[in-house]
Amino acid sequence: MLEFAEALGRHPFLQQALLAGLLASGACGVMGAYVVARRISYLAGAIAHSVLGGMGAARYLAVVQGWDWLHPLYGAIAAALAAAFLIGLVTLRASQREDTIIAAIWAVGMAGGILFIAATPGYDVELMSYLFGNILMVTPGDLWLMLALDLVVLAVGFLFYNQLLAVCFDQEFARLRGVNSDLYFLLLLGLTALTVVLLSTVVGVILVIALLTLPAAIATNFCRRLWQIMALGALIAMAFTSGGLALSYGPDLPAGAVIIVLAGAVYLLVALGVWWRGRAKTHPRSSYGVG
Amino acid sequence: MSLIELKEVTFSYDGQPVLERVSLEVVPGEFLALVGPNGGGKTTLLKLILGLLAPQEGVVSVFGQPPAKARGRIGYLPQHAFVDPGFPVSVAEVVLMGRLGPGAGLGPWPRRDRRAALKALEQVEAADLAGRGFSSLSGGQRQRVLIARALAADPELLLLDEPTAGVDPRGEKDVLELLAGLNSRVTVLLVTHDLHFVSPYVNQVACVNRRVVLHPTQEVDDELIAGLYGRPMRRVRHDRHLGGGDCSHA
Repeated sequence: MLEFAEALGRHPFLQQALLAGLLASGACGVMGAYVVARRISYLAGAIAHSVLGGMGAARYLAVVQGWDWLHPLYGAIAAALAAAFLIGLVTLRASQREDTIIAAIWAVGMAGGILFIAATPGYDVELMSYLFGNILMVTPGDLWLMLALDLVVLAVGFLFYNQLLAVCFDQEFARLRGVNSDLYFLLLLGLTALTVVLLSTVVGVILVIALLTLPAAIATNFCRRLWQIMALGALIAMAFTSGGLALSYGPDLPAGAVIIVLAGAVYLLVALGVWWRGRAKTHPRSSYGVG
Repeated sequence: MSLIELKEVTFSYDGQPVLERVSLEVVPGEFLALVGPNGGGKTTLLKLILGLLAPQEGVVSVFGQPPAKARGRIGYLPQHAFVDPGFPVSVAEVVLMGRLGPGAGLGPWPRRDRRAALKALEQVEAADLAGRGFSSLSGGQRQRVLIARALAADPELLLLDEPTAGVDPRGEKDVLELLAGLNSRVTVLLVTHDLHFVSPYVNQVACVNRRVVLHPTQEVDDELIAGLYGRPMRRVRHDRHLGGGDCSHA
């Protein structure tokens, strides 16, 4: 850890990596809370995996077709929003086989990405960094784009908090109150999509789902209101991304994987702690006392 | 003027008729209970009045308008199973959802809405719960809070889908007394399984089982109750007073 603190002062790439983690954590806290409360982790997972299709297509067009301006993140944003829209429509309209269709979007998005990447020179390195993230490769240009995404998610999440909360809590009642529930549900998925893109630069598309949901799931144990879960979840996500980065630096481990293992371990400890406390409450020692 | 009017309404799910040629009129100030067996069409009837479902045949009008246009004047309590009791939200936030509407702005709730929500909580005698977490409440408290949410927009009509489900017997009585009190200002229509419990409070009962038959409460005697739930439906005979159809139409 000390080694990391020293290196942080010397290497701009480490500072950029740290900043990327902190930026992504803001949106992660806000949208993770919605995703966990509304129980749509599975939909978020499908969006995350289909992001690979967009990244692969953008990379292919940039390298093979010469569209130099086309950053992989642009492709990721487009694919994530398209997947969110499609999954939203399926969830709202399909009466049967909803889970099958969503699983198909999940896999087909990935398969498309792999085909594009296979057709692009530099196959292995690209694929690994999209799948598992490469936070150390984040550039100042990426950071600006991440900042913009973060601000969009935070601003919309703040302005439409009342509406989104109502739609998550009771969609039918919100509709009766004149709130366009379907539209807000699509907005919720759209914001989730942007957050997924942000987080995928940190941990990659496969590991995103854990970083999106675990901080909110941990915070849920300590908060009674959604905005509190958002705030605490963002702080926890910051601790995970920074802590994971620091832990990975010394032994030269993949940062994304260390962040996720750290998040999973903390979640497990908290869940055990909560279970232990609940057990202590239902079986207080005094009840075994004399008498 | 009738507040709710259904004329010859027919509704079916996937070709299975749920309600057939139903006519019903509710006048202002009424306290009406919809009773009937599971799958008899009670909730469907509520959803038709709310405009969440559209009839295949017939006309539904509320306040003389199509239901979807009248929604702003209706307070609604959904079946309790539809609300996630573990959702991280405060009581005040739940009640404020009743203040949403096309006119609600963006960002934090203005003071006017907060005051209206608190007033709604006072009406159900639950103002002290405002700061509590919704998930920490008992079943009876939760129903009270959801009734306050329905009241928050000052509705002229209250539709409640099984308001006493998931509530212990003492809380059940409290909820019904609360609704009877509100009935002095608001027309109340509730769906229930427990006619015996409800009958002292309501002034009309509608039997819903594909058809709808209205009874003033005086007629809701033990025979009707036993007929509805105690014996096979085909043997129900409570058509003497009204002279037309019974609750079963089996």
